[in-house]
Amino acid sequence: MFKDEMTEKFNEAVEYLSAGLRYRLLQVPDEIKREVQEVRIRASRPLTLICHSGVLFVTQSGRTTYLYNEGLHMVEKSEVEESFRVICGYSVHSHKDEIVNGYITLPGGHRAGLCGTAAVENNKIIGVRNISSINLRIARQIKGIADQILNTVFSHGKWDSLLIAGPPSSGKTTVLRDLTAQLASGQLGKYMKTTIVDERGELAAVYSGQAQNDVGVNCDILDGYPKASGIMIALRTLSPDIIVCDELGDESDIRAVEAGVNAGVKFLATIHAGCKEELMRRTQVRRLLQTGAFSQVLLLKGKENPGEMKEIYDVGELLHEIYGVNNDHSRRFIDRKILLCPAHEQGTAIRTSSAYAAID
Amino acid sequence: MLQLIENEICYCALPVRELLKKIDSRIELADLTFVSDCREKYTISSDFALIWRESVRKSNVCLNAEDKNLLCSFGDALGTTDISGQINICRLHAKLFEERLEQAKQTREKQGKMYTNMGALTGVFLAVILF
Repeated sequence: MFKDEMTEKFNEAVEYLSAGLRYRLLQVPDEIKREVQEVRIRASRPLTLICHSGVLFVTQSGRTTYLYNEGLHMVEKSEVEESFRVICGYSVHSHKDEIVNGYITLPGGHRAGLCGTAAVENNKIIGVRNISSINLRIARQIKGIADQILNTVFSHGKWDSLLIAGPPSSGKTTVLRDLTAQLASGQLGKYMKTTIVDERGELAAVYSGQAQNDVGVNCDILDGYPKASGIMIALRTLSPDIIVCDELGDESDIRAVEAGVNAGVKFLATIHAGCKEELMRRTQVRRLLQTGAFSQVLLLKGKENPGEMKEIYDVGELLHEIYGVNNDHSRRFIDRKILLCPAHEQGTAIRTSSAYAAID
Repeated sequence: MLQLIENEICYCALPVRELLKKIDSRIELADLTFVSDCREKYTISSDFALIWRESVRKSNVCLNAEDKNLLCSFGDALGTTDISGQINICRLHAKLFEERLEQAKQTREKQGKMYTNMGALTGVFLAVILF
């Protein structure tokens, strides 16, 4: 993304704040605007910018400082309320579900996370009142961020399922989005039929039925669908080559992935894991690897180098390490891969052994 | 208009921008020129309540100052709550407007009688003077 584009994205996002906040934020120097990932608006607290380099406070004149001292712009409650109304397009009633889910997607792919007092009925959140803080996340689609991955992981020109792991802010979603766009736009020589199950609206950032981010030409988006239901709907109705999901983790997600593997679909997904040890320790990750849906795991470096590869692991080897050489399950996993490889390439459905589910 | 807004919010949760478009497209509501004015001026970052207020104040719709105030207070509340809150706001303002209409009818009746009597008396007076 060019520097001017990044500044423009910041300016576009702050348009959805109250006039006073907008005025101050537009005064922020361009070199800071390019760095900003989030704008934090909290009642009776200073207006705060979250950047790669750290936390910055905005002064009354629109300057920025790393120090919490006098002269900062303290956000008034009315500014939070007004910003909330602008974010809702003065139509709070039209955003009930999004408010309950805790965020509103804005044109341009930006996202406003909301905090307030929950109204709960039968243990379910039915509404949020007294909005006290807003986290405005600025959408930054970085085209080409997945080039290195595409060239390294798929250098042979063949596509296989990939699980992207990394700590928070390591660029998992950004990489996933770019990889999706490139695959759906024929970067591997074929316009792959791609379906994004975008539960949290972060990948495609659909607004009024239109994707705000470029996710490729041959791509369908199941916006707001829970991952498990979305995967099943994609399998039944969209016949995808690839299903893309962000942050897999629930047991229901894993079961849906398992069903997808049985239908011969490839997956491109992300998961939280800061290092190899964490990857191997987490029960959900192990369960996911045992489904046989993924052949490789890509670990990203971290928030200091977002989107950069740290290491690539072979799933068979990872499971081998987890369960030991003499472990029947890991051996079975590897054997199954070898045996079913030719059938898989002919498009024959793979039958995943449900025995793997019993390991954990 | 209030009934239309209430229905659209209740059954479609239509956002304010769409509501304005819908009202603007209804021939029977063509007299409410402030709606199209508001629709033209309202942008993503503008203060809807302020623009609504300005449009109502500037419009030459046949409403007195108090009626316009009531319409402005409706604009202040439009789109600021959840669906049930919006329905209540629509109903409250519809009721207040009905009361204003009732008052206007009574005033017209009272003043109508007075002006008829005054006209008759003036006629008699002129007849006395002329003859």
